[in-house]
Amino acid sequence: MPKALPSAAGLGTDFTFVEADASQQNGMAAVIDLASTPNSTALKLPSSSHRLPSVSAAEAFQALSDANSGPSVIPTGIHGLDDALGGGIEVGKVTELWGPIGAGKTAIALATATHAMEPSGTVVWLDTSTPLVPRRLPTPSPGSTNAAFITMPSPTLPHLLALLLHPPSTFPPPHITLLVLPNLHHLLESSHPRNPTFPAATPVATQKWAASRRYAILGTLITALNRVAVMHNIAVLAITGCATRQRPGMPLGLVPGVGGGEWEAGVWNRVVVYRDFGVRVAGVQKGRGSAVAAGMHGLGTVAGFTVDGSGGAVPLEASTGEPSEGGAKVPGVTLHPSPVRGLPIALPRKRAFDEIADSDDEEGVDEYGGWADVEDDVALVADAVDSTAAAAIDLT
Amino acid sequence: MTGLLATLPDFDLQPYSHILPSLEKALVSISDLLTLETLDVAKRAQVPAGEVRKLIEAVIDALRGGLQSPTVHDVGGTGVRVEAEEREGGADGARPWTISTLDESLDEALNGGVHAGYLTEITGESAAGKTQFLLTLLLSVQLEIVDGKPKSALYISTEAPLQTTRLTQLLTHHPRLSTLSSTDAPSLSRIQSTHIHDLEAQEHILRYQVPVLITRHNVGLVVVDSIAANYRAEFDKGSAGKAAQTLSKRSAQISQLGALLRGIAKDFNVAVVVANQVADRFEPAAQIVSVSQSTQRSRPGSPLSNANASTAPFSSAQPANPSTQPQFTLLSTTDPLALDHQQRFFTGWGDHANTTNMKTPSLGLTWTNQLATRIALLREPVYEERHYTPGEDRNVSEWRRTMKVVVSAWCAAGETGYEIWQGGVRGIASKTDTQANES
Repeated sequence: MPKALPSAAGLGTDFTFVEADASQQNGMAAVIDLASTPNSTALKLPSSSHRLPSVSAAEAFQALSDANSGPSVIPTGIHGLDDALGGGIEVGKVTELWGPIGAGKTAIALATATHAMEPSGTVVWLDTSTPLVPRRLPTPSPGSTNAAFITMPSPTLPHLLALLLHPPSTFPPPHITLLVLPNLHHLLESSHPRNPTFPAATPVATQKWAASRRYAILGTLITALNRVAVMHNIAVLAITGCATRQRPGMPLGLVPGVGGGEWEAGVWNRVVVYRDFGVRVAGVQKGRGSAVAAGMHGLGTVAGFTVDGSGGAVPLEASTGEPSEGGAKVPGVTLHPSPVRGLPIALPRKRAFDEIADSDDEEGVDEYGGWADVEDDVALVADAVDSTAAAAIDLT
Repeated sequence: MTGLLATLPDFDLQPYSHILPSLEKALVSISDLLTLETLDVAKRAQVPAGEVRKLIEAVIDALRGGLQSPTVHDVGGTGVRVEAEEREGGADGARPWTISTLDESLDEALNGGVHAGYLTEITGESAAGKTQFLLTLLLSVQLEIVDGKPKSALYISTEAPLQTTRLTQLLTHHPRLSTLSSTDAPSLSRIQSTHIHDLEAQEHILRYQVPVLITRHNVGLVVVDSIAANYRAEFDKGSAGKAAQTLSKRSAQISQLGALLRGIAKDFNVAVVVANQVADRFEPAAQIVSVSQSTQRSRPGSPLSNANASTAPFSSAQPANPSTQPQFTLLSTTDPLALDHQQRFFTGWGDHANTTNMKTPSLGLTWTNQLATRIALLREPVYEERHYTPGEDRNVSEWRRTMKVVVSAWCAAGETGYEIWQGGVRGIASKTDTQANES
């Protein structure tokens, strides 16, 4: 008789156990049976019950998404952008908005927050370096019971890390649908600048390690954000600034304010927000998890928008090119190729030298990350230890 | 421990004073404490793991204490704002307030005036009127009265000393100031001023002396006029090899300065207003020509004024192939993320396609990224309308001045005309540019 196993955490449903078919003689047949009847929802335990019951991946994901009812995207309200992102910013994932100052990133985030509160959702906006003025606070539509816009202080990077890695009981609040982290680059700059300077007497190995910490911490941060997004079924919007970089064969260009291989891999959508004559533009660089093919402007899909009187983003009327609020027209300008031969190619990003924590020449750092006993004098030898040698070494 | 007291000013260091120096020497930061395994940290800094664990727990407790006060706005659309906990510290908590420019149209353009709690920059060419604006703010802040006490102001100058005669003139001629009684009127005695000669002094005064002065004198406005002056002398290029290092060191210093000023503004709920100078900016090679012109007109390209990139200048712009262009183009160039192109929109100069004579505020993109608001004071010459003989220079009859909110976290972008007169600055309503399309 198979023992009742506890239901898998997070799935929220109990699986009914069905006794193995008496005609089956061994466990292998039961396994084959499962494979040949993919739509069967009953668990079949093989008669040799030391095997764990197996559930097909499709069933597990279906159960998970059934348990979490609610929309899978939150629209930004800018139609071209929403289309390119697959309806809006995805719930359970991290979306990054980057671009130069004044481009409209906060405006897009505020417009998204307004949608996130419908019909009844709470938005948490972290108060990092620049608080929102009262005029820009989005108001939920009357009658939505759980809709709220909450600002939480998170003035430094340690505060943010404590919030995500050791959350207090108030975080995240119930009914949360969207978490916004504005000015993430400011938080990183103060403690882990891009080009750090060190006290004179610091050894080079320590300097390299300290310089690599920026990217390691970004990696931890994106993992923590992804975890929060999945566990609480919310969308996370990270707003970062910009920096400049020399692009080969091209003039100095803008690049995202925070970077690093782990951060860029962990971000699901990446949208660049910038300006042009009479219009603001949002371009999708990474949509639905994969890098968008560089289009005409080397940037993938672009969508125009503008900003209304209360500082939120509103879409442009696509047909006429005029903003829907009746502001300035987009001037007719001819397209001029930039003075380079080719469009930028998105190269797979190699980690810069200082991103790689160099542990080769450091003493006292255990390669195996803490597995070895600190007081043990015997070095761990990986392979090439035959049985006689193993008997001879005293492994404590 | 690097940054511990900056992040947690009330943290008690005494129980950990035996491990903090080693952690400092190993360049372990608080973020590292929170993200690395305790054992890794202990090994790296050569300190006992148990002590590190205790320190980490104490740090997490202290950080959590700072996270306990969320503010809930407008629950359920009822218009009721619920404050979960009043934020500790600061002059009047987080109450937003503004410093008026003493002129209606300028105040409207600024959504009430210069907002406290943010870092604001006023930039423009020399004689554009930056100092006039600042002097007006030095007097206007004193009209903000909290608990019966008017706010005072701090004026930190790096070039010229405070113009006290001009301040007196403002007091006697401005209608809103001259009509006040002697007890209510702003006074020069509530303006503390000091002069800074070099970067070291600037760093010391801003970091250590200004916070003390703010609390002691109930300061509501801190003015730095100007922020770039002390950087010019300090950083010459030197040898080519050291140039990159010097630049990166400078940009780290600038971002630290920005963080310091933002912190002062936010923690003490004061307005920090900084004046900045501009440098000329030249058009890069590819020109943007509007379609209304029938013939291509290429301007002579000139080398980029920034010493960073060195692309060969092109002598003529390449005409776009009409068959490949769609009818409606959103973008004007194939390289919209080039710094030169985007600079047009966040410096204040260049966001109309045909602008000549562009300027860039000093201290570059790193400084720009620190700001909450940039106000550019533009001035254009208005030439006398008469017949000029060929070769004769045109006569400037007056200057048309525009106050332009370039980027702002607390008001809409837009432009307003203004003029300088005996009583300070005042807006010119008739010259308000209706291209303030974002408001």
